[in-house]
Amino acid sequence: MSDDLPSTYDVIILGTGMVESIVAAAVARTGKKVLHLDPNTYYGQLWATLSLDSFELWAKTGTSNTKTLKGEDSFKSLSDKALKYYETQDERDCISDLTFNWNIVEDIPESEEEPKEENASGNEYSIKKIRDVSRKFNIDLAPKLLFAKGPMVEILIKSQVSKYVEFLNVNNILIYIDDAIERVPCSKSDVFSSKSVNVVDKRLLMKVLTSIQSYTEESPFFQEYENKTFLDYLKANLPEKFANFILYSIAAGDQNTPCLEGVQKAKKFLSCLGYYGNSPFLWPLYGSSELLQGFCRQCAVFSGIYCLNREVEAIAVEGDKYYGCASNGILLQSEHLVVSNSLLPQQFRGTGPSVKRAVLITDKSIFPEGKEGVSLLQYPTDDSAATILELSGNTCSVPKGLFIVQIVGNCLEEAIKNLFSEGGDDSKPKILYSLRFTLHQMECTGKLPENIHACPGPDFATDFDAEIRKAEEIFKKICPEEEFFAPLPPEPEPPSDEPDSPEEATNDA
Amino acid sequence: MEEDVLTTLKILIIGESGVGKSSLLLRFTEDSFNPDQSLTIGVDFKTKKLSIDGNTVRLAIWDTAGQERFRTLTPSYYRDAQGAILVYDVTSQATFSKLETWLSELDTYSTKSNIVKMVVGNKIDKAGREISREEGMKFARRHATLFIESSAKTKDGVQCAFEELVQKIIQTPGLWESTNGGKTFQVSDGPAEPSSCGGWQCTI
Ligand SMILES: Nc1nc2c(ncn2[C@@H]2O[C@H](COP(=O)(O)OP(=O)(O)O)[C@@H](O)[C@H]2O)c(=O)[nH]1
Ligand SMILES: [Mg+2]
Repeated sequence: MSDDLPSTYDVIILGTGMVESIVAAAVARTGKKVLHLDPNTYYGQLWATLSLDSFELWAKTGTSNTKTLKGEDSFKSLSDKALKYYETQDERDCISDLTFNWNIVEDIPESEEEPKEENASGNEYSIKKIRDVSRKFNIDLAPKLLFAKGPMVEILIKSQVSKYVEFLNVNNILIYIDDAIERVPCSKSDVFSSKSVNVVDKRLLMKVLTSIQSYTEESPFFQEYENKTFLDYLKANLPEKFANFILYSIAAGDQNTPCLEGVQKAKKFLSCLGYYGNSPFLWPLYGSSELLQGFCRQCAVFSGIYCLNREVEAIAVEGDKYYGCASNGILLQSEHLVVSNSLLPQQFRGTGPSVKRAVLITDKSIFPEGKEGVSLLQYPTDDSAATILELSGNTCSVPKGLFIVQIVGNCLEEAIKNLFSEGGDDSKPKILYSLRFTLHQMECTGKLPENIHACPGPDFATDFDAEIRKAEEIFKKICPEEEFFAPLPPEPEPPSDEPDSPEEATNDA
Repeated sequence: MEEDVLTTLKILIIGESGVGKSSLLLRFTEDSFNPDQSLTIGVDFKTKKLSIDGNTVRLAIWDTAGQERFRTLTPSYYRDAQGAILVYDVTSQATFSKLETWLSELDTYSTKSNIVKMVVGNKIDKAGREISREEGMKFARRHATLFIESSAKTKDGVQCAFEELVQKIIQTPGLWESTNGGKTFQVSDGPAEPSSCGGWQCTI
């Protein structure tokens, strides 16, 4: 790669994950000179959205850490200063136990492709046929949803990155209960119109949802449950089925969720209804990484320099301060370094909690009677819950007629066994392809120089709230005087056109 | 959207750094030209209405925002574009040779298979031409794209380039009609209260 990269910056950002990309846009807007690098050929690291080809390649290279440490001496010639070099690590260490397989034939010879087989589910697909439309897949490594009134939506609007992203509603909120999938009535109108809830239960459900919605810190209503679980409260006021609806689907909790925490989470869900249709969640068309790409684009509009497929081999430290990055035989210098936890040198990186994940390609919806689009299913078991996200063709993440299913949770095997078929059972969606892995969160364990800012990779929450908080925290350390995504001054009016032409020029669509 | 506007079209401008992409964009949308390169930094996209054959369309013309420099345009940049302008500098063989790569990048990332492409040879006002008009035309013919030569400095060919591109887009069936049934939306400063009784704040 040509090295006409300037050598000094205000901020170097290593990794194009979600937090890193938000920070990139935020600091570039204040006029800081930013260099944003990523060792991969694509944006997003473990937050990436990949075509099927790239996804399969990602799976194949799997957990193999390709990094070989060079030893500190190999960097000594880069500078006359007394610098200590810490070699970066590979984000692949975040993935373990990765397996994948195709559950359909490699290819269908022309002659066999007769229409008579049409009703035999799954039979019309072959690996070749699906790979031929690889570009129609946009598979997320870390799919997450946006609360309609949550911090991500707020920042998208404030930053105007919103103009780069289109959304769909998550239009089916579902729960697996008593061996069946049911729609969860979320809004008042849902509860009223629900045919599966009788009048008495409707009244109880209404009462509980209304008191959750009107909860405030001073509200005495839940005080008697202070040391009890949310489930205790729900069960005391509702039939068990509806208690589970609220606990798992609305509060995204489990048996151990304390009452107040459950109330707060449920309230947040309820207060997000009605802004963009009858759903509290939004899903980005083409996948989650559209968001981080939008932030990266904004950083570039504010003169940030982008370079993918570019590794930083080592981080140089002078005394107790970060000094620069050794990359491709040169030393790039900056005041601050923002870096993914996953790339941190071994002296500073530790392994945190982990969760099981699966990605399936299926031939049918888990809830065919629902609306086409995005479905969110909570699958509670005795000791934990799995969260299942299903995307259909109109999300632009999968060709029409097929489905992408994303599953998170340590009990995912049970969910897969009960909801999908490997063949034979035509009543369930058939798994055409599956990939499973364990995702580990990396943590910063050592004491970093204060001008290095480490960013977490994907956590296991369904929303981006924690990422926004972290990005703001890092921004405040780099730009203590500035407001996070302060509004931009309005574009100066373009010179007016000749009066007879129907032309205009503005910068917002 | 105003009634007289048929649709909004997304147009991309790609090609090597320094060939004059941002300059063409600013010449077309604002009729301005600045010989100082640094002033074209900070361009995101510009919109402009254009009337062709009695149809008025709004163009949203997207600049690369400099991300082409190390070939790091985001896939999202290419999404849903109906037209692409591939620019080279007629005084630089290297920028012409790179067009092949830009075409393949476009084929990889554009989400519409029938996207209309136009090859533009820019800076014809400048001395030291390395690529003849015939060579440019031959390349365009081989790749079945439109072709024009231009100068963002003198305005030559600029208006024409956009008009021909838009005309071809409008004539291409299935290219610009809405595909998602209007179910997608952007987030914006909406009402402070939920708009429908889907929410819990409103009283029934
Ligand atoms: N002589 C001449 N210079 C041009 C023309 N178009 C652009 N330039 C100059 O070429 C340089 C690069 O232009 P710019 O629009 O920034 O290129 P970009 O990197 O492709 O966006 C600037 O100094 C422009 O002033 C042209 O048609 N003629
Ligand atoms: Mg430019």
